[in-house]
Amino acid sequence: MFRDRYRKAMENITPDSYVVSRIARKINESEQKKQERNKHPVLLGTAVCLCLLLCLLLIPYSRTISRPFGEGNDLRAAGSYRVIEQAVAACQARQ
Amino acid sequence: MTQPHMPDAPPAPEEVFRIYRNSVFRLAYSITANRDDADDILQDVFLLYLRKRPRCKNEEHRKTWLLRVTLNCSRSRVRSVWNQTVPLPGTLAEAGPDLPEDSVLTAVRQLPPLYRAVIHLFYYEDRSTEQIASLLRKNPSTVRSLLSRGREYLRNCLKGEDF
Repeated sequence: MFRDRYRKAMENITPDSYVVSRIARKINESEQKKQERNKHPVLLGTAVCLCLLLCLLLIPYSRTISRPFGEGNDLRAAGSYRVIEQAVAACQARQ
Repeated sequence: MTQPHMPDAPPAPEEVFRIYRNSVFRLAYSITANRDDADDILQDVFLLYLRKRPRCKNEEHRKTWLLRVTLNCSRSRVRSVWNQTVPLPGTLAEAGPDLPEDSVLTAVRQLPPLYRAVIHLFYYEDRSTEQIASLLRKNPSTVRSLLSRGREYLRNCLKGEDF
């Protein structure tokens, strides 16, 4: 029968093994490139998340960071005021 | 012929290449009747598949997509100016290694490319005339008449063959 003979003849026809391996290699390379492209957004997202987490952790220290000597100055000023107050009070007592 | 099973996730391109490379190559070879052209077409078809990544409903849809692209590539290859050159006389043109030839294949190769495509899709891929018409973007009656004329020619070439 023609169908069987044609099929049988066609079964012997296969692509060249070199061509097959070359195309398979190209497909693999393309897949690897695609996977690498897909990895980059993940890395970027991870970096952004880490930055946000770091910012959240640093918020309690933000006053200290913005005014590193602020609190010391305030204390010093408060101490001076107390000394002046004591001197004024001593003068008033003498009078 | 065993039909590939349909998994839920689309198969990897390597798997698609492994399953369909012979079908694509054989269709390209049946139309171009040239091994080197068929190799080039095989490469073009799968590179296009990689670039386009068609969303196929099932494996039948995927195979139809690949066969349609193969048909288009093969037809443009046959029509190209490069293929309208005259072969060298003597032994030079026949020097390269060729595929094993069969009397059936030799008879089919005498037909014009469009007839060869119809014969191949009908007898090897088991496609109905409606499916072939859809693949070739032709009227089903045109495909039936191409098939009938192709068979008539082959019947004359292959005496006593049952169609």
